[in-house]
Amino acid sequence: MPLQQTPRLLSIWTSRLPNTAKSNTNGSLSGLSMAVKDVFWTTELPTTAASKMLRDFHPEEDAECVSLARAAGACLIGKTNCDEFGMGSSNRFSHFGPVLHPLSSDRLAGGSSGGSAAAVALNQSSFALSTDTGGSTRLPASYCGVVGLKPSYGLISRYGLIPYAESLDCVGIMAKSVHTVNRVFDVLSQYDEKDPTSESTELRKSAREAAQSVRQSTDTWRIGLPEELFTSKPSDALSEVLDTLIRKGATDGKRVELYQVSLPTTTLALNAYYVIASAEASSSLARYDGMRYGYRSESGSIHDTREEGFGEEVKRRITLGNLVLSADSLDNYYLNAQRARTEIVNDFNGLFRMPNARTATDAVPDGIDVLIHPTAVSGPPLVDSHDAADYAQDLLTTPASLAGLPALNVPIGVDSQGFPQGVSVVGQWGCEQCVFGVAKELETANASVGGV
Amino acid sequence: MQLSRVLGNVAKKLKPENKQTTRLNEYRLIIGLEIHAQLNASVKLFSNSSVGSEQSEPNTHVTPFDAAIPGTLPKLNQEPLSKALSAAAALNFTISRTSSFDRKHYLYYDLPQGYQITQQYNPLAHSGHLALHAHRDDVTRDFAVALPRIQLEQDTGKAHLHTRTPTLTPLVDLNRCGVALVEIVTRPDMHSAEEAVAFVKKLRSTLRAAGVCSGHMEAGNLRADVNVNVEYAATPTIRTARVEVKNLNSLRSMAGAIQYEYERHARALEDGRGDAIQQDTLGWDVQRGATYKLRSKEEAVDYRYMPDPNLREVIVGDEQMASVQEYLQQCAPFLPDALRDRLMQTYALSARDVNVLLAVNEDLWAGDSRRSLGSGGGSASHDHAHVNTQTPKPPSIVRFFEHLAHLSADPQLAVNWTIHELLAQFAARASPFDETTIPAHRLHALLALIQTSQVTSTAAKKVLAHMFDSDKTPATIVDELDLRMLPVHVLDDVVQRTIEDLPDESTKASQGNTKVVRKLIGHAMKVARGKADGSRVEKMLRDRLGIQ
Repeated sequence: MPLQQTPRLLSIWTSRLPNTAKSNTNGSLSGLSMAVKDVFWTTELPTTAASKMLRDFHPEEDAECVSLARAAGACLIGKTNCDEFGMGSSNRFSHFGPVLHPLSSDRLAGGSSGGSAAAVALNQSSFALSTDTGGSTRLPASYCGVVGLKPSYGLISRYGLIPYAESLDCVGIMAKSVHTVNRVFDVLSQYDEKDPTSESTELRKSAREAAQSVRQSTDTWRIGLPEELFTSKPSDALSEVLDTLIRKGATDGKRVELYQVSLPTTTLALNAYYVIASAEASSSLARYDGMRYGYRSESGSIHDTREEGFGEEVKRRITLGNLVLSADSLDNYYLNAQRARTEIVNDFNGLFRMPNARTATDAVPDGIDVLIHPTAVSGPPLVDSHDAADYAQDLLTTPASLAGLPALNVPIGVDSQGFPQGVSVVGQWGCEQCVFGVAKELETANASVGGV
Repeated sequence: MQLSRVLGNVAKKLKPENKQTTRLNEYRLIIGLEIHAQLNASVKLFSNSSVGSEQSEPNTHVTPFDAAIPGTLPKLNQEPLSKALSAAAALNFTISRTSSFDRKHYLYYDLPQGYQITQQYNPLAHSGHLALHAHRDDVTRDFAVALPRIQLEQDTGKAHLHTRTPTLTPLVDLNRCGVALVEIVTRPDMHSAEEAVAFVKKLRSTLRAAGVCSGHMEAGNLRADVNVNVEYAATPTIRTARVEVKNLNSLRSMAGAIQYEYERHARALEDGRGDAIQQDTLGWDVQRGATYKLRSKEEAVDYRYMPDPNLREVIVGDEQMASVQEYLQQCAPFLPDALRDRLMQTYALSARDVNVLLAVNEDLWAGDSRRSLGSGGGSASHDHAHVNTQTPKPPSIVRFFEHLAHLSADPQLAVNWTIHELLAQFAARASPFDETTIPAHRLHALLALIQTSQVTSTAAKKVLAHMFDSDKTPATIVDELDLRMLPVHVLDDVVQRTIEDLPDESTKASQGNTKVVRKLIGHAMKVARGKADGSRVEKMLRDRLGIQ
């Protein structure tokens, strides 16, 4: 590494536990330390959402995902910095200051879960909980060179997660290896009656079994490369990894086949995402009025409280959300965005050889198992850069978010400046095991060709 | 037009020859209502908080979700949903097999989430109606009020402004926040304040009979917003802009506001300046008896409706549909029209007696609502999908009357004793009617003594008073008070003795002097110490003396 930063200067943490709490030694996660993005409820540490608005907010219980991980033996070590309320792609907008990249003080860790990605990258934590609304787990994972999973929407409970955009918010998992992410996912993926969007045990089972039956009846891995999500040609590292897989086959003995596929509507994703996410943000953040908890302006007025308590980016998105939901604009923006979202879901459903259990859409018999595409359009964001460039970073991550599909970043090689690069593996809803399967193959092949 | 006259007209029934009617013929009043009815579920709509009462200490029925703590999530409870479906069925709505929740945004202290969860785009049910009948419903024509939609939504909390310094941040009570409401919207099918009042009364009776709303307007569990405008009857295209008067919490206020606006709009049309009426949102000042402007059309709030991303569609399956229908069938005999028809036809009661019975019922409901809300301490929950746990109960005085009528096989006797003697006893004790104080079978035991000529009606009234303070049987009380009528052979002796005591009068009487008969009867009753029926004694005397 060209430059080793101290953790303090990176602003990874918003708060830490002085002594690591005693953990269940028999659980499947025992011995693992856990960093938690500061948008999840924790009993011992405040939950700030990296906002002045919530800097003194102390929840009375752990978020469901935190509670499940701890019950399985994981040991909470602290809360990680992030973009305020998860709004950002660079981790530039935090009340606690931006999270710097572990490899360079000119770069940012990426967002919004930058603290979680940096904590894992620097081995300060075995794994981290993050969130992913439009790419907030996958982007910083890609920039920092760690594995990051955005699971299928509705698999991990959002109970105790400070919301940003509720139809998109997912609990993310970050670790150094696909194996560890898989282990944590197996613990957290549980039906929770406290979350009305949590999918039933039966639906999960039906998705899992459909995927298993496809996998058992085939001797190939069919991987799709969506042309719209390759804004530039595959990196040399990715080409080499894919060549290896095609040549040698997968470790389970199955042949690996690549297909160029098309997802034409994904070009609508970025715009649709910002309309829907901003609309939902303006709604989910309407509750911060300084009356019952959180920051309150000296005047006590709701307007002053919000003006002073929210950062600039949050206020920008609320304003945008208010605009797109206003009676005069609703048809042009919000309803169009919802239509685009439906088309994107249909587009994805037209590619997979597993059915979508959640939308009850049939499988395409000669379809693919997973898609892969670069996670980010460029390297880690510069500390000094123009805001507008930040929004474009989500170009490749928002389609899976809008479709509610599992998407996992796995590091493959480095770019010309030595920064990690990541590839996203995207699967059908509820088919995380296929995503993990292919990600592990990529991980293994990457190691075999001498990748980072 | 003076205010006093306006209100006077509201209080009185409109008579056909009333000048007001003539005016109504010229300037047609158009009224549509938006009713908010709080469901009497034991649990809030989306949280597991129990529902408090008017008397609850502030902020004692509040969960983190009700206080909009970030990270909490809503969970639709089956009990309020089931009550809302019952309300929809009782009002003849077509229940949507699929409906969904939306958010309506505005910032105010009593709305912690910054939005209300409601059903803007796909409401719970549509195309309902409520029929009103001339005379029986206090209206002068038969008509139906169309109800385009009924939606399930959250109530707000209450913000208490500091009266001295209204700019200070208000105190907020979240007990009511999140309690389930149904909003019922009508078409503008009403054309007088009386029709609007009659509609709300009948709607309220219907919701009460369906067991879903206590309908106590002053307590705020039934609220009305009124939309009013006026058109020329001759040229209906000439009309004033529609105004909305919000948050009317009594029928009197509602009628007052409608009449006030009617006068204002009609006068404007009369003066040829109908344009002067703006499409405003108004409030009603009870003290001044006048409306005042809350906001103009330009200042209207943009609610930025959005589907609630946390909540799934509400799907009413066949099983739940059947359960709603079954429940409605149990309630059907107690819905206003069915109840009135039965009382008049099965028991052949007069309209007047029926009105008294039904009026007492409504009062009892209003009283009940206060009491039942007061007992809302225990926790509630419950989530038995598709199970309708409501047990419909007829309003209690009707149940009492029907029970008594069956036991005594004399509905007229039963209704007289229920609404006159029994209610008089409750009134004398300044307590509301309670069907358990003197159960119907006890009152029947007393009436049976009258029916078998063992006591007089007058004596029975004394016995009834004693029954309020004693568990003894009516017969025992009759004997203790020595009120039992004398048997026939003893009465024969009484008549014989009367004739012996008053020989002159007896002679005169037998010669045809009917005046002295009164005196003879009086004497006989004295001998019998009142324990005889006067008309029976008279008959026996006349027989004995050979008077025709």
